[in-house]
Amino acid sequence: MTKKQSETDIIVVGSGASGAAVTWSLARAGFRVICIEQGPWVDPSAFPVAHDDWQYQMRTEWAYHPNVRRLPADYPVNDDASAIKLQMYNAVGGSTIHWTGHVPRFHPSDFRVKTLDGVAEDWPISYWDLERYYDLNDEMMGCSGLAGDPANPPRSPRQMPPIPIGPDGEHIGRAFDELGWHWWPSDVHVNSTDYKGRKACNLCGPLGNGCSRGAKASTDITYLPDAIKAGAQVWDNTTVFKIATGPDGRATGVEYFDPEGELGFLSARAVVVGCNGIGTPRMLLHSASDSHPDGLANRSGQVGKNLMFHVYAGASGLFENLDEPTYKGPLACIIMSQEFYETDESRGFKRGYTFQMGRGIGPAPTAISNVPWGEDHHDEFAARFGKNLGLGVIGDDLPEEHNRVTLDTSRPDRFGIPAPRVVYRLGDNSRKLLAHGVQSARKVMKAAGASRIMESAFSENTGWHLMGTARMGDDPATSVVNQWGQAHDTDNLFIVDGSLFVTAGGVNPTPTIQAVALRVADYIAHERGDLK
Amino acid sequence: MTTHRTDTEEKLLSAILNVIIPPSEKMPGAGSPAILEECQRMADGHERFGEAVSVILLALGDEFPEASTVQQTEALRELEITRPDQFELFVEVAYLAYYSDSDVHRHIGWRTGALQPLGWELPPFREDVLDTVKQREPFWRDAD
Ligand SMILES: Cc1cc2nc3c(=O)[nH]c(=O)nc-3n(C[C@H](O)[C@H](O)[C@H](O)COP(=O)(O)OP(=O)(O)OC[C@H]3O[C@@H](n4cnc5c(N)ncnc54)[C@H](O)[C@@H]3O)c2cc1C
Repeated sequence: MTKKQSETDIIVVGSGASGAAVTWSLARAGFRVICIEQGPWVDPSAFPVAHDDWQYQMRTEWAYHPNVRRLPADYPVNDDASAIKLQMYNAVGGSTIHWTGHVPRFHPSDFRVKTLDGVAEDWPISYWDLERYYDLNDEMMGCSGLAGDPANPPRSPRQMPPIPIGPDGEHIGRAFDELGWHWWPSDVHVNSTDYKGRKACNLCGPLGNGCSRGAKASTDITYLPDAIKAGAQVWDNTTVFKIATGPDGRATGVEYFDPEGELGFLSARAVVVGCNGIGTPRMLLHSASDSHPDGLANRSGQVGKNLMFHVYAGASGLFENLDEPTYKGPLACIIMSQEFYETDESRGFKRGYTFQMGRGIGPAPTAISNVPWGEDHHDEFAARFGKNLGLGVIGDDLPEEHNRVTLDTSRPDRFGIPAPRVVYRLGDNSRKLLAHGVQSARKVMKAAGASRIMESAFSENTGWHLMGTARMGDDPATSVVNQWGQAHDTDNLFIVDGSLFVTAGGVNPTPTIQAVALRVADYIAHERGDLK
Repeated sequence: MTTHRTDTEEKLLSAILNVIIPPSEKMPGAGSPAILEECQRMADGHERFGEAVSVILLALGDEFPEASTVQQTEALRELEITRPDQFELFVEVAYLAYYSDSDVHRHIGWRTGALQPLGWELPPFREDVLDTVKQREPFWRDAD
């Protein structure tokens, strides 16, 4: 954290995928930007993969669930009433410290679900509005992959060739070929060659708990160093308590707790919120004031509603005769299939899903996921270890108002901000989609010659894609922000994270989050000179 | 924080661990001294593991170590039903301790130690593996 000041042009709250991208873009455009982040900078040498007890660290202080980690920067979450449990990381870089860097793009149809399929709402923007921001983001994060995928619109050459998919990836690819189904090497924000001073991935495996080589892109080592060079400040270990508003309802700045726990006030011409699909509605609801009695920017009553994750299921298989054990190579980021991505009414559900191939990553994770205790333990472990491959189904998740985030005042964080309380039920469409996905995954495993196939009908610990809780739209009565991420109720408040998603798509959301964030930043830079 | 366990408690813990992962001809049991020690270290290092171990120890009487394997297994199966969350955490920490042991690693053919800086090697990506799928016409829906 650099020296304290009391006034700036733009405050960005949160330094994750979205906040860091906006900080970079606006600093380059000449705005005085301060990015406030409740967590610390993370030292790459601290990541589990660099330590002998990495398996233990992954399940304790580097766990995905904040209530398990309970680090000083983590706020408690109440997801008791959610069928899907939350996963996020709070530090400079946000959840990109933890992410696995799988970066498929939304399809054009994802932005037009109402028009095409008669469900949910259309987005006020299209794929083509985002295309150049997807490209810019790939340039900044560094994308390994291959253009030419027939399941997607044409795209510009990737910065690096695909990550090696291994004999196991090729094997599963051949099974897709045999079925006549689509597959393609994954686009990933993980370096397959050295890129912009960051090393190539050496395929150690986990990805999801930080990369000590810097081969996996996280915003603390991509956007933020460049943002700082362009003049931005990052205030780490600093928690925004509330976004303040004046009598006219406009944002005036933020109340924050500094690293010593002292309350301060930073005034600004605009506030940009990138606290993720849970942290952002929490912040808006907690920032209720006389001019915004039901929560900031919540005249529509939509803040916190329509929470979407993605729904996950899958099938895995055991393979005895592969050339290499299946723990060699990244856990995910191998190959994907979008055979069942677009709606086909004959399947009995709307929208679709992506298959994402996964590997095993080491002895303890292999044992913990499904090897029974007791007398059969050794045989079962031997049957699985180095031989298990999986196909995850990541399904579109339609927005439903009852899936929502509210405040739980009974569980405040260390500064008295209430915990987010998450209510989420699996929808009927999702159930049918997952059932189809599991049966299709089973067919792939069979075609690949798996000696045994195991199904997972629904995965609970998958709440890492957080979307929909402050959605964008043209109508202020049914949405929170407009197509520029600008709050309908407050012209100098912008939202840039997954909260503003109208629908979820059937792919990992972060490249879309970052593309939208960069588009919002461009709008501010070009249309809102008054904020400088 | 280090929890000091009595000899009786340690004996009980070792016996439980040996039912969770029993010794075999080639493999040590999870209750063997080095793994037992590691399990205690891990339980001490993380509150929810520590709690789970304490709850499971408390739930099983001191006579557990002397019971037959069948009786021991039955007692644990019952705990698995009556205390599902704590039991799951207990098994998790037992597995973590067991599969962090270098002797176990040697037996299962796993390179011990940190994953970095060595990583793994795989042959580079070959584009010809896509020959079949490349023949496919684009099939995404244009919406605008
Ligand atoms: C294990 C895991 C794997 C993942 N894998 C993938 C993947 O392969 N592909 C993909 O597309 N996505 C993946 N994701 C999701 C991806 O990480 C998120 O979509 C992305 O990081 C969201 O960006 P964001 O800016 O919205 O929020 P985040 O990156 O979560 O950042 C929000 C930041 O806001 C800060 N903040 C919150 N409240 C406050 C406050 N009051 N004051 C100050 N700071 C605050 C937080 O500390 C945090 O750093 C994964 C996530 C996890 C956890």
